[in-house]
Amino acid sequence: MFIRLENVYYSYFQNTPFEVQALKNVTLTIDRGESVGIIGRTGCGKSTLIQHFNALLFPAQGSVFIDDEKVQKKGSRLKGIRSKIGLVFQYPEHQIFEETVFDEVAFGPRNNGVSGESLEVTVKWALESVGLDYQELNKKNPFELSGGQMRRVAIASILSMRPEALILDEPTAGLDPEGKRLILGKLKSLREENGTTLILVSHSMDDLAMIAERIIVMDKGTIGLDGPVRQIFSQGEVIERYGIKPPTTAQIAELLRKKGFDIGEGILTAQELSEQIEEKILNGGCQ
Amino acid sequence: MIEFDGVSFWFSEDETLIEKKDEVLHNVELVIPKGEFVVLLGRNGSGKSTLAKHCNGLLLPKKGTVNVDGKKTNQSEFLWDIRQKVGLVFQNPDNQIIATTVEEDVAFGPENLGVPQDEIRKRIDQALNIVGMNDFRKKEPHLLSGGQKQRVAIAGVLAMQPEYLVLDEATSMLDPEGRNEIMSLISQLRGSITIFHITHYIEEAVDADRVIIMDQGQIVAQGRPTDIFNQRDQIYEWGLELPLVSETAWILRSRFPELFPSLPLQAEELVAALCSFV
Repeated sequence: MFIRLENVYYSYFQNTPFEVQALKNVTLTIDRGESVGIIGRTGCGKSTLIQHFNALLFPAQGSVFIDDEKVQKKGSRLKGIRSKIGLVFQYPEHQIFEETVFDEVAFGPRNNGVSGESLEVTVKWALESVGLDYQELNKKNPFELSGGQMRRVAIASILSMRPEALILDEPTAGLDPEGKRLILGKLKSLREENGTTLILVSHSMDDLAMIAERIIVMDKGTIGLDGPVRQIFSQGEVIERYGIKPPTTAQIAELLRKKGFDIGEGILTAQELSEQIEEKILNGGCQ
Repeated sequence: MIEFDGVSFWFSEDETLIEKKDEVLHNVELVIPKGEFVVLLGRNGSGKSTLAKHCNGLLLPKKGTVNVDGKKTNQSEFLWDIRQKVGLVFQNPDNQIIATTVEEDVAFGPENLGVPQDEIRKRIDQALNIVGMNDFRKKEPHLLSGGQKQRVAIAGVLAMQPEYLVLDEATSMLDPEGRNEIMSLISQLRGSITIFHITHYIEEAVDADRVIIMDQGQIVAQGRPTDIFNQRDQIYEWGLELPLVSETAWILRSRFPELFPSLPLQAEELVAALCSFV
């Protein structure tokens, strides 16, 4: 077990008339190497939940364990937890503050005492992991880069801590399709090559269909559904209650089924869908 | 009609362009005809938002002119008129709402136009009805969902009775339900008001009257969605992608060349074509 939440409750403005309960009795486990998508309406508790994963928030009740060690406000090695589990906030490029790409990406490891050649190696690795050229960019001012590049620099500046898990809140929001494809592709290979655990909060089911293997649906501070991506996205009517429509490909598959095409459940990508359709065409499909 | 005539723009104060790379808009020629639903696509930094802000004189061209129904945005005597005619809604719902209740927020625009009190009331009723937020009129805006806030922002613009509604990535920070709310509001408003919608969601363009594509500060293509999305190679060159429906059809076409003479954009079209093929 990597990250474990047991009966976690959390409230904002606790003990005031404005108290809002953001998490209610949440229990879940995330193992090393998983790729988890967290979805649900605005305000359902997604962001509050992920901030418990790296000890930015502490439960009002219940417990959080990282590698079986209980997270506590005092006495736990919070710095260690936060290096082990990196969190990339929404629009992370708004938090860029250094004057060169190198310094921005080096900020975390420098604070952890990394310097000299090993710092350079780390920064280079982090930039290349998000598909940016070290030679070309390391001396550049991050504010002169395009939106998609700035987003990737911001992700690299978390990656440079060499986290074992990367949590990303809406990593593709506001990006053009090309920037989106690039980031999702890089995250995928990061997981394949380094076994990095991925936890993504997203409103785009089409994105998650490409990258997530497990989906957690949050609903009013509780876990509504939790299961393998194909299983969750094939329950169109169930997830609609949580304000979610299945990915486009799953919707097309459903339409085809209604027309008598015998297309299997749990279609995720355009490639999978077209393969299934091809097979049905060859066997004569529409009734 | 909004007309862009040879519009170039750069952000420095200098009247002459120092470096070519600073040019955000380059010689833009564009007509947005009255009554159409036009969708603008383009990669990050292609100049979409800058173009949107030229529609009502929030930004003024460094070269060329923008005409709104024949009035130039760079003639300050027309500006008041033009801003009433062309309403803008931006990306972040939290940055656009100013009043402490929904109805006061909607009243802000017409109040500033000097509209009489009872007329303002009528307009608030109308605008909130159109966006389906009448039940929330006494509510505090910060208690609303993202989609609801954007609908209030749109109501605030509608209360000024504009002829053009410019939505600058108004759906990009919303959850799927919020996006649906705005897209169905667009189809409801369509025809009664000109809509210029800027987005990164390709799916939001498939139903438009016209799709415009920008790249590096220029209009690189415009036309009916079906004509635009049938140019797959260019679409990817411009940093965009095909709707997943069309992408699926494209993959299938490589296997069955006679299947889709034209790539479908909507799921129903794809399904219909498959059913008649088999």
